[in-house]
Amino acid sequence: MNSFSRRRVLRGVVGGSAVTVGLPLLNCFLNGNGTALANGAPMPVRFATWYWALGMQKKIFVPKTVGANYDLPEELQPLKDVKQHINVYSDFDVLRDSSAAVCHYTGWVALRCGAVPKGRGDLPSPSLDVYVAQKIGTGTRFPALYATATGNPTNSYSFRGPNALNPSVASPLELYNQVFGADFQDPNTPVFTPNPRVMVKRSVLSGVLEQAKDLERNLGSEDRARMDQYFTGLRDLERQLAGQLEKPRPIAACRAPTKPAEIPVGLPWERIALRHKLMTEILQMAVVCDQTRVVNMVGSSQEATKEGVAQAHHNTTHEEPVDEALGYQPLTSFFTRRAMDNWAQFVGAFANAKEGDGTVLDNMLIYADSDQSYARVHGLDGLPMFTAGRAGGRLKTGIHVNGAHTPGSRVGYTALRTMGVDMEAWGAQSNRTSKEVGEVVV
Amino acid sequence: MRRLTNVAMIIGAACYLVSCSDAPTSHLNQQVSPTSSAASTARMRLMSQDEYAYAIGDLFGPDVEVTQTIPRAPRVTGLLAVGTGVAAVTPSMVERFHRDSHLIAEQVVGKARREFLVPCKPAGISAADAACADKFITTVGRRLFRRPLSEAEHKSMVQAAGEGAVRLKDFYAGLSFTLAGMISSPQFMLLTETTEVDPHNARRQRLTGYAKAQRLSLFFWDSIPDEQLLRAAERGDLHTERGVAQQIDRLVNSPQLERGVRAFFSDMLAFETFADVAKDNVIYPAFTQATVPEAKEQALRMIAHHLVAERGDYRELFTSRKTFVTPNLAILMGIIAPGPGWSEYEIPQSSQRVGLLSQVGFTSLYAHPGRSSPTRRGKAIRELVLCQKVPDPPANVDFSGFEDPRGKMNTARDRLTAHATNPVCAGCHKITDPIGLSLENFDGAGQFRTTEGDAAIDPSGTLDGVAFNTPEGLGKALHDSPALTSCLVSRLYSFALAKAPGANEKDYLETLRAKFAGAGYRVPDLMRMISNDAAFFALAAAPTTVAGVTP
Amino acid sequence: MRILSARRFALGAFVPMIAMFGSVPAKAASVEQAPPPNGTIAYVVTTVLPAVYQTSDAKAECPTGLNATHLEQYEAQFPTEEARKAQRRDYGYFHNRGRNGENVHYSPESVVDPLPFKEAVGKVSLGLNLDGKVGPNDFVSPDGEAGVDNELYRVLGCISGWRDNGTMTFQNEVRMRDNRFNRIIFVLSGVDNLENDNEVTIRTYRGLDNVPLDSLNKGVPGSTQRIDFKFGQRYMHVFKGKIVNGVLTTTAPADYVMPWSIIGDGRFAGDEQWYREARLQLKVDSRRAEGLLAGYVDVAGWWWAYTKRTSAHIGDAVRSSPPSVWVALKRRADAFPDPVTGQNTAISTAVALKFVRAEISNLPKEETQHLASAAK
Repeated sequence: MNSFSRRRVLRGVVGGSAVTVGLPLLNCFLNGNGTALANGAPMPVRFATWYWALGMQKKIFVPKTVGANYDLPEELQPLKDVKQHINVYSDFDVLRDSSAAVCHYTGWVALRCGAVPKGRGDLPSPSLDVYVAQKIGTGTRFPALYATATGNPTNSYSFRGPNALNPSVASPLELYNQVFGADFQDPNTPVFTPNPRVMVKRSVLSGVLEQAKDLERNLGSEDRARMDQYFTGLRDLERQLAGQLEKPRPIAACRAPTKPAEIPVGLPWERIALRHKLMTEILQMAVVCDQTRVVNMVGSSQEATKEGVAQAHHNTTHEEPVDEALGYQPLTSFFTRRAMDNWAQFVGAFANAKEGDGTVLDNMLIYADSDQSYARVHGLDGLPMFTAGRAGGRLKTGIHVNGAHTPGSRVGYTALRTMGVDMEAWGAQSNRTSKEVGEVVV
Repeated sequence: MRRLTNVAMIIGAACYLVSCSDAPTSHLNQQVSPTSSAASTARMRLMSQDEYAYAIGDLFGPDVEVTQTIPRAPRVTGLLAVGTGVAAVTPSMVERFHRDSHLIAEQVVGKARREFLVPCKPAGISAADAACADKFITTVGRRLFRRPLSEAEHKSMVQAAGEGAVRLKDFYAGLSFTLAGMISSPQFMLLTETTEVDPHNARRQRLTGYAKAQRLSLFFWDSIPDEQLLRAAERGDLHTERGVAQQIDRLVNSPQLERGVRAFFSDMLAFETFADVAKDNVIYPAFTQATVPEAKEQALRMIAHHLVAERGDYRELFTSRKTFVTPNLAILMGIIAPGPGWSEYEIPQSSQRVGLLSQVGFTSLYAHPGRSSPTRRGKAIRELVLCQKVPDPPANVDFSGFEDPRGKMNTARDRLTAHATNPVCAGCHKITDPIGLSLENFDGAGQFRTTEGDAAIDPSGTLDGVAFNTPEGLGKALHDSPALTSCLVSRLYSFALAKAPGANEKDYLETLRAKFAGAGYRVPDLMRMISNDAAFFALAAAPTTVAGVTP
Repeated sequence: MRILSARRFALGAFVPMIAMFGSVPAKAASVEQAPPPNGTIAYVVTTVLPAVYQTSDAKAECPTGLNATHLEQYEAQFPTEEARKAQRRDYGYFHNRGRNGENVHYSPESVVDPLPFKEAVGKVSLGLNLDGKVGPNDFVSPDGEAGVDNELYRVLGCISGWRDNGTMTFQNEVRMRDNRFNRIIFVLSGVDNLENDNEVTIRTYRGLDNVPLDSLNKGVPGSTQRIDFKFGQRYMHVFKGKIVNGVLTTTAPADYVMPWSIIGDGRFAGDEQWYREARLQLKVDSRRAEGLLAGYVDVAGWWWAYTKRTSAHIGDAVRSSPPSVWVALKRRADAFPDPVTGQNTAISTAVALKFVRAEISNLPKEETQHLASAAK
């Protein structure tokens, strides 16, 4: 790494992650209490997912006390400034029924969609963020955004079903260009003139949609379904362009972030942290500027490296001996702690963005999970999860919940219900649940 | 002779466990079984990144910058190409396609290129010109969609170009937006096939000439058909044996054949995972990010040179001493670079760096950031080169036997031997490690070494009963292994048709293999045999059952 | 990291460097010091730094502070806004502040700087004993060796551009590494033992290839270099030397021309430093070499390369005023007097070099000739 990016890392990671956004929504657009939009509609509740690789070591991760004011064991120390916003979920399991547990795969698939995959590559049903985006994401420019700090676009934990992983944007610069590039319309611009280029784009797109309909004729049912997915994408795009032709609602706190520099690929932990910091700033502003209401972030990589260490993070989990004095794997824990730094940064970004009387995080729910519990043995029992944010007052925060080995899908189900996705039950077989995590629901 | 199966062979049924220390960096690299039946009357697959780039380059010139990155398809029955037949297109992907298509269109009709790429001049630059727009859209549209535009398509696009020109007061802007619309349309991005009633049998359908042209060009060129192929389709030549043979002859002798061969081997050897390679700077300072594409290119140059330029025997790729080097690779190989840039290089007899698998590419790809990995290398050889399935590792493995105090374990062999004393692990490591250990003279960055730490490396190994003690020995054992060529035949056939070989095609593949042997294992000849056969243009069989997902 | 290593070198000189090598376990050292094949080993330069000894607060060597910048001298020369306006009206740019509007880079004697020039003082400097004597003006090296000759240090030591993080330090380090014109190659031949050998030959060349860098921008050992036989003749020199405990020193000084292109990668003639009676002191092993090149550098040549290529192109980035530096150079020049005027034409100095091992693809015959003679 050159000294430039190292400095960036140090400034970004050590120097404090919080990016404070000073200004609230313009007061004239809020009601007297600042708790709702002036037209009476409640503040929109936004949703995010966050992922980290390779779980944790229970002894130094899971708080000893249950309920409010939980303690922060070593691996959770990075959360000390944002702890009040975060719920910790321990002892929630993935039950694999008759399927073989596929290491580094079954865990996250089951948590994200409530069903255990039949094998590696199988994605049984859409991930929870897809349902949420269908519910709350249709009115914004982007139904959802997908980003990964790992530099690899295939690192995504969001999927629309079999073979339909939503690829992540893997470079901060690309993410910036996507959201705040040439097509970004500053909502606070005093004079609004519809962009004729957008008009032309839209009319060309309508033509494409019209003509492409004929294509389905020849296809078998599977292919027709895939062609339909393409049409869905085109229609989303058309709607997005239509939205750009309307004057956006002013949002005083909205400021396009600084355009980031290109970051080379590679997985030294410092570089992951730098990407994470830059992407978090962009995602935070994407939410503040109401460009999207659903964001998905991959916050760590199982292939993260530390200079001079032969094995990547994943191999350390298996090969590093448990230090007898400490009682855990120190190098493995180093990587987990760096992931928790990023998690704290992600939560902090939204906690520091003011909105009305409170913060964006007050009107947000962030769901976070991992692929294993104790990665050394590919544990699927006690998979660690978090939520952050009060979701417009629908959830309590600052609580540690012990799941007593009930399905981890309960946390996902709670998130779905909180976000207004109406489902009586969610998931499949033993992981199917209709039981929210009552401890955190208001 | 041993009965060969050409589909993925599950070896070592008793074996259940392999080390999870070789888990993938991305779950998309993994094998997925097809959930889409191959039953439709015509096939549809998503264009790959390379096909997209070559198509744009062939059509508008290689200097048009392509920023598009199409997410790679899942690997299905050993190939991404098969996965493109089930890969879904999500809205976020469509948005990306759309964004990047505009970047390409702007270049094509931009001031620097319009003289060459737009076949006419508009009457006025700031107004619509239906005749000129028509000319451009007709010629470009035919190539992009691999068939003539339908009347409705044509009309709609000329109209859109006109409206755009009027609204933006710029003829070329109107053209640019229309071209972007075409490039981001499913007609371009999804490689669909059209069918027609077979004139010889009115109850059956057959591929149209255009669909046949597309199959041929994708297979041989990794790109869309050129004008000559389209004209052959138009004339009906591709429904005659002679016409097909003529075109195949042209394709197989064209310089672009190398692209098809490279595309196939990149896919078969899972070279997309080079994107994930990064080496530790302290342990392997000589392996930088600049080395990664060169390591991949070295392997592809070696393959293309041996198989295409030299028309060499496929088996000898694994014992060949002809390779290519750059100054960066020369450092890792411990040699003097013959020149700046790429140079041909004959590996001296005194060197152990023999065959494709000893080069920097393979040895660094299947390794850790700071260490070699006999298990990864052995698994890759089994799965990718020999088409043998090494089972996925299970969860909840007890690794306690593996983390013995390291003092006693000096080499990878020591560590793996300790690991294999655990009966749970032994089964699978027996399949992978004896192959991989013979490459231990190459460290995780592909540098030759004789010691690991202070301990001497013992590079002995076995492959299905054949013992060797050098990388050259491994190459020879592979050269002589019947699985090597049957795997290639199966994979190449599967690649050509973008589908997994069916169980009922076993005999066909065996015949093909025998013909391949008869042709001296020349890969271009095998490509000719595969394409010059009714099976190549056959429509998929009627649906049976949808394949289940196998763990 | 770049800055740290530059600082470490400048502050600690050989002591920490030798300590660093010394910390390598004995067993590994024996591998590192194995005799090179054919008795020949080549190195390519990755870093060239002016050997400017400095303490972090500069108090010891610059007790009255650092030198006035070119702009400060200009402002002192034209103390009022009115005067400056007139100067700019008549001559355009502040560089043209000679009595008749001369550019002071080209005509440094056309004006006398109003503010005094501050030379580096003190007893410590990097460098080598060039004249074999310990004179009253000589320095002591940071590790205690007396008799060090480095008069150029007095000129440069209190100019911020020549100190750590300064423009010249940066230019020297980065341009010497990145500009291919500057590719310096040393080939050692007749080496029977890289640890101790009482007679080795050092031939210098200019190379044609880039040195690959690792992700920390450090040179990677083992890359291939082609020697430039066509335009590199003037950089070919021969030294005789010996190796004692892994340190190579020259046994007889020799003249040496060092490429020194800091702007434009060799686009300008005379991008060089001309050394007379140059000497080497390099710690060598099978992967790297590191140490000092010292000698008497030709003042006019040095000035030509320095002021016209750097100062003139980068405004006041070096933070020094040409007339002051020129006068100081002439004053401190300490060798090779002009036979007519008696003015010394060369000044003692040193540069710190770092090399990585290179493989030479077109090694001339003489580099392995000793093998043939040994075989006889």
